[in-house]
Amino acid sequence: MKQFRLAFTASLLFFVATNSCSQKTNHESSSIVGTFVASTPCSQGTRPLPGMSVNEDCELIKWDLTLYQDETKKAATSYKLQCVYGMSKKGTTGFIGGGKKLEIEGTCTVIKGTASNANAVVYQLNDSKTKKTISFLKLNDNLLHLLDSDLHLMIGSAGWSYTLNRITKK
Amino acid sequence: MKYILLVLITTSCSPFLNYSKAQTAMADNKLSQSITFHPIPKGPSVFGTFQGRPPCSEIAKQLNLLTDADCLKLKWSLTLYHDPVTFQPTTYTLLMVGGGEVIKQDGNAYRQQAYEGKWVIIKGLKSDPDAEVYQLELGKPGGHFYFLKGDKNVLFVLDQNKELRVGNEDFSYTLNRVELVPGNK
Repeated sequence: MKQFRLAFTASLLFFVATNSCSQKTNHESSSIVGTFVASTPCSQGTRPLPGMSVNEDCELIKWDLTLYQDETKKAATSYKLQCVYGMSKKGTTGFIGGGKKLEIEGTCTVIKGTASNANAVVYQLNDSKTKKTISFLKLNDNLLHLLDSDLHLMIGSAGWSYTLNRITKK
Repeated sequence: MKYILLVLITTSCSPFLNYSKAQTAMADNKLSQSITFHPIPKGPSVFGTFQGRPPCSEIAKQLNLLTDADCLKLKWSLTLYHDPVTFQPTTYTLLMVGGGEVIKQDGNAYRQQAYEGKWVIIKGLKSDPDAEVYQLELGKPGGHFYFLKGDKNVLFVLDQNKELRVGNEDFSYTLNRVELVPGNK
């Protein structure tokens, strides 16, 4: 019986290991759902990106999010997120010193429901490096809005909002 | 058998258990302060002040607003009022900086346009019949502004057909509830 347990556990561990490896994103076999961009606020308390240090100055994040879908599933399954963050350069839409770049990618899960709408569609992006997630409300095919940890809409400022806009890349 | 079941459940759930939330905590998702040099609306009739910077051209076209050639965005400040007893919508003021009449002040010049009128809450978008929409009267026949209520703190600027507008990498058609604070002149 002990030998059976050992063999069973070993085979399960092998399955989990190979399964987690298969979650690595493979954009080559996927088609693009869309590319979404935005300039959003960032502060000491609001650092929505995995891997951001709390000690770095940040008041603006520029997002460039590409969602990929599996051709057979026809739903978002993976993503690539490229961001630049830092202190904004007054009178421009850029950063002092160019900003700091951050790039993450991983799997994307589609779930149902936010704090205020049980039928809302939510894209949950999983970062394989930090094992953390960030979630967006899908407003329609062209707009996403960042959510907080309890799935409420993030509240922006007078200058910047948390809505990501679909663009067509040339 | 119990052992096998336990291992099976643990391993099958592990991909989901491994991830934690990176997002801003609800406690930190709060209103931003916005400095104003105008009198701050106060009292129980104030429903709220919402501000944002939507892109310039589409709004200017809709309102026939005069803008400068380099107009990228408009600075909006929308204050909604309601009846303090019935909580029904009453009036609004909307100030747009970046388009409209030229204002000269302290040696500087900028464009500004103010709107005011009544507003009501209506129901329904093509894509969501239950959506709550704020309809603002613009003063000219048939002229309205529409805002989709995201929640109590976030509004989305709609077009004349009550469709969501798409912004760009710098500016979105979103207004956020703010806490107004007086600036020092």
